Amino acid sequence: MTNMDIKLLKIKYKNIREFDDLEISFMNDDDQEHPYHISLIQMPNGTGKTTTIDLMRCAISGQKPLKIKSFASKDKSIDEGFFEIHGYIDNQYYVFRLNFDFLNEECEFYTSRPNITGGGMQKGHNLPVGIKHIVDAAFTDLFIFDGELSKRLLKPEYSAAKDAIEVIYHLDKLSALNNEIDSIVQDRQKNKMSGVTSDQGLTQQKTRLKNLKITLENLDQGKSEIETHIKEQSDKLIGLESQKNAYYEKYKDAKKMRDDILAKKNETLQSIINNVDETLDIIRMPTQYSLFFYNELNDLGNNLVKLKLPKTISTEFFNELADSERCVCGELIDEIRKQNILKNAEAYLSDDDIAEMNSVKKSIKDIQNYINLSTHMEKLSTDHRRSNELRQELNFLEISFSDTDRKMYDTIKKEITRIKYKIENCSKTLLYLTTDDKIYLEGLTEKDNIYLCNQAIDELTKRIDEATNTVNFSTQAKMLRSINDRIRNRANSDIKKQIIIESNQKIMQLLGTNEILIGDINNSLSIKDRDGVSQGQSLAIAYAYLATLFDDSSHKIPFVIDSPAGALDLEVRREVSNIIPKLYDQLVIFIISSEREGFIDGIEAYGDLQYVTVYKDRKDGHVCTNFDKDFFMNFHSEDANVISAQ
Amino acid sequence: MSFRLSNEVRKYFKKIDANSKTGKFKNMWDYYYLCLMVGFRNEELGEEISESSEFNKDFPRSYYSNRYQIIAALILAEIRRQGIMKNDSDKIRKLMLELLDTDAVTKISNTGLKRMNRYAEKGFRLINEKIPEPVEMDEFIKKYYEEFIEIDC
Repeated sequence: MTNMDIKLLKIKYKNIREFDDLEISFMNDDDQEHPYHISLIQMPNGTGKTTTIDLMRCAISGQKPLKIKSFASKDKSIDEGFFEIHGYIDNQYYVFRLNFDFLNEECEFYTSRPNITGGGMQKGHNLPVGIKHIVDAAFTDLFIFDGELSKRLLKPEYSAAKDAIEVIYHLDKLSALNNEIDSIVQDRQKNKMSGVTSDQGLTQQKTRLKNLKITLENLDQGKSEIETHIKEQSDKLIGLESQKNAYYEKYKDAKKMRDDILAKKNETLQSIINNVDETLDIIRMPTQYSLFFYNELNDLGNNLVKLKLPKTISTEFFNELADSERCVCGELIDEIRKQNILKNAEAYLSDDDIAEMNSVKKSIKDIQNYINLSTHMEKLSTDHRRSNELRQELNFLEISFSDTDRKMYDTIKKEITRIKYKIENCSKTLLYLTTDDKIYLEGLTEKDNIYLCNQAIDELTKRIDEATNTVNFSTQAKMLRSINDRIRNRANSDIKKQIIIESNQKIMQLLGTNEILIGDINNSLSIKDRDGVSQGQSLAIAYAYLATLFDDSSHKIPFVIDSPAGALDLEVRREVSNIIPKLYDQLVIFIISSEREGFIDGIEAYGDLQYVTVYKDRKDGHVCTNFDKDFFMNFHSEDANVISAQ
Repeated sequence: MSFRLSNEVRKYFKKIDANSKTGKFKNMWDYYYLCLMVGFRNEELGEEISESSEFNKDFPRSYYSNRYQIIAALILAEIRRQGIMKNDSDKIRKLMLELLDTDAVTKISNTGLKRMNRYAEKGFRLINEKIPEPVEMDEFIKKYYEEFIEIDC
């Protein structure tokens, strides 16, 4: 825990409400290192006491005030002003200034750290990094104290008492940490594509993955079975082919003829293949594709020449010409001519466009003669016919076989056809089972195709990995939250017990009775066996409670009190004034004259104190200060607006 | 933007490639070109083809030397489809500018490529209609010649 040491040195006003240019110092003139232990500041009602307290709160916490106009100078011609608070924070001199722009109802913080920045003001409320997160509005409310807080500490509908413990012992930072954890977990879940954030969702995905892996196993097994089957059938086919050929071995003449026919068949096939390749080679050139394209493209080429397209002069030429002083003919190019040239230049093309168009034009100009494909097609038909004839001739050869052999031969041939059909079908099934070709994958799912199944497994594995990380992260975050909550509850409970004991000791000392004691601290302070307390008693309880909190927390923080004794009986005032100086190293107490009785007597015993009276000058209405004790003691609130500086 | 072929076209020609004993196509651009020329001749545009059907960013080697003739055939088809008069120099110049792009790899603008893809798609519809389910390459070439080339001779 960071222990703070804060000392207030002075406050300065410039054009704030009644304050034209005023400074109230808390410094001891004899000891510039330390402020007075107690600064009693007597400010009658209407001299800006509430304004001062509010501005001190803002300047320390960095919270901008809401109603900026309410701080505006009484002199309507003045649009700007400021309030400054000077002090030591951990032995470093700090100045926090709140600059007001009343006209635009804006305000801005500036900070000066003379030891670091050499005295210049930097924009912003720049508290030291270590305590920046501690000194917020809630924390500041606890040491710049007014009667309102004492009421809130005791009312069940407020949680000021609980909040005070949370703030001073930084337990609220554990709540903030929990919020931060929640936000990180949510961000992480949002950023994950898997969308799986719970254990149940993760289990479902894992089951799906398990099923997909079973599907893949089945597909792999199916593939292996089909491959085995194809192999078996192919072996069978080789056997049958050799059986078939064996019949030709028996009939030598037929064999010789068959070999001749097969050789011719291959020759014809090769001729067909060559013809197809040649035909494709020819038609790949559009001008040779057909007579229509030959004529039309030729015509287009000639037409482009006739139309002088593309024009040989480019837009670049005219753009340059428009920028010249004189035309190529010597005429002066004025603004009107220039605009006309530029406008008409649009009808011409760029150099690059001209080059491209010329390439197109050149490709269809002077093209070679058209090759009529009819010869190729006739040959293709002839070869095709010849191929069929040769197939029939092969069949005729078999007629020369004996009846028995021919029957056997036919049976083998039929079996070969059957097996070939079977292999073809199996190959097709295998193709769809194993292909990664986009064309064949259309309409297939991970249940039919190994490639798709592997893809689905990869994708799901990735998602599960992501989801597992997210779910693990969420579980760990949940554990961290639970640890935080336990620490917070345990600390809260232990701290509360101790605070109740110590606060009650102080209450007994202040009120001189053990009839009013704190029973419990829930949201607010509950008083043992009582439904309510007087206003004075509630103030005493608040002092005791806050003093205990700050005493135990080991922060060294000044205590700024507004009207500390107004509601207290004389006896209690004496007790309060006896006790609170012991609890704080620096007290800044704003009082009105009616509070002096009983309160000042106790305070005076502590010696290291100054008396400041802030009042309105009767002559010009300006607010002034007086540091004289007698002036302080003799000043009466009812005289506030009539008394004159003495 | 580049050349596109629908799955249906690919399937049709791949089947010939896979089963034919009488020849094979050199590459997918052969499929595209045979469809494209039928589309050009017919002067009709087919449906637009999705981006996922892209197959070539540029002309392959077998067509590279003929690329400007193919562009000329595109210009010719567009002149005829749009009914541009032969002597309308301005319209022809504008059309050429619309279809060409000196910065593109193919030298064809996105508009030009889109049109070509649509001509090819239309060409395939006509081929599929006239030559359904061919098996052998020689049979396909012969029928293709009879249906789409011979009529102009």
